[in-house]
Amino acid sequence: MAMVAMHDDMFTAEAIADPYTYYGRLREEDPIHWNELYDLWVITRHDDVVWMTRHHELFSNAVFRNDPRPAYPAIHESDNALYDYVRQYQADQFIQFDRPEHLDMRKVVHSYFTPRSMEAWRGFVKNAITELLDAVEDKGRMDVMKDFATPLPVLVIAKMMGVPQEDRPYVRHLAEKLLNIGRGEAERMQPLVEGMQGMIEYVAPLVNERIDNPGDDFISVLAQGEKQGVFTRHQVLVNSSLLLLAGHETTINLLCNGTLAFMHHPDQWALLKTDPEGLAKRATEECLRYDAPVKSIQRLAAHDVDMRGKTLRKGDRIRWFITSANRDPETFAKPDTFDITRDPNPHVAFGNGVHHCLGATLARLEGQEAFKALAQRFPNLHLETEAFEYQPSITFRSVKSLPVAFN
Amino acid sequence: MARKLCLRVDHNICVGNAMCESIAPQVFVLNEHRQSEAVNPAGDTEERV
Repeated sequence: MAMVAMHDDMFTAEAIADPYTYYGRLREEDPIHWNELYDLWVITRHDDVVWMTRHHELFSNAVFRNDPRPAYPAIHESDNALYDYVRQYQADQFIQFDRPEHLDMRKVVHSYFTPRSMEAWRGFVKNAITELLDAVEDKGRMDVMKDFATPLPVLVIAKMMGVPQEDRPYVRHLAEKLLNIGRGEAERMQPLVEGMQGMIEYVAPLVNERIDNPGDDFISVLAQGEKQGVFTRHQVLVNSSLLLLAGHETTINLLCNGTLAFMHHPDQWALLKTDPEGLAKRATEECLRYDAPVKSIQRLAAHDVDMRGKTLRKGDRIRWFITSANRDPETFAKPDTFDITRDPNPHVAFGNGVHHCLGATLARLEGQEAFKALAQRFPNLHLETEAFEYQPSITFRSVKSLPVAFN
Repeated sequence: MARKLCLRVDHNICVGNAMCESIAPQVFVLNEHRQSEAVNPAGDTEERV
């Protein structure tokens, strides 16, 4: 067995600030690595990640339902009951199921998210971006994270859920509590559970209403799934807030990490400004590859599986790292270069296979319109600091704030 | 001799997750809207398609 002379603590300041060096070294030296400290297989090569996503029968998504191990990073012992609530809540999301149930559940929500359906949202996204940028324009500066990337996905999701205008600040308040799902602080369970319970209480009457009077919103789609016998009521309720749990932090990170990549690569920012309309699509793909919003995805081995001479045992915990797969030199030429014309760009920022991100088209659309608008409206955009802190998470690549000026 | 396949992608259903392209790249490619096109139905074995 290959011995790797590196520490297994994935939460050190160095590994959080620069995951590319840490996981890149694992990819070179021990691509199927057993992390003793967290009782976890760490998978880092692009071809292995793609292979695993295509063999969904070998790697179970029912992580919250079937992984009895405690939360990590650790939480306060007195919060264990809260963590049980979180596990039960998460376990009922359709993404936490395997086939055959997963296929039936995904079919219910599938047509809502096709590229064709999502294209109809471009106008709404553009308007939301215009409003958010109008609000900061006169100040000459903003925190991209707080003023732009955080509110934009909530505006879109609230509209998709059919939330009345006057309730949107409340939904945004709950959405910010839900962001604790990806955080590392020991006290994160309390606000997370408040967010989850708050969402269930808020959504419950909307579900009742749309069971009887369905509209064209996402909650109506889920309610239809209940009528068809695919979802229980609890599943409808938790899947309603899945839009926020899966689509909020991820979009924030795409917009922040992408903006930061442009600021660190003035040549690529200059290039984008020459043709924002024409380059926005490929540029967004490169942002997704270069500094992906999601760092890693969890699975449980559903069978014993041999990979590169190692045996993953049934029930073993697994994380594959998008972060290193997207910089794999076997797949990408000059993988550490940010090149917004890169094509093809087979990054795995949205995963792959049967669990491929359902909201990928929406995320892409938000990224494209956001980077385009920044390039068109704030061509002098520049960073106000070079000191960035990241959330202590191995799931998300989340900068804590991103102050910029544009005068 | 294998049968001749006739393939068509329904763009109202395709979510563009590129599963098809990664399994049978001779047959399927994603178009500029990231939706699948069956460019060459005879490009791979029927079993694989």
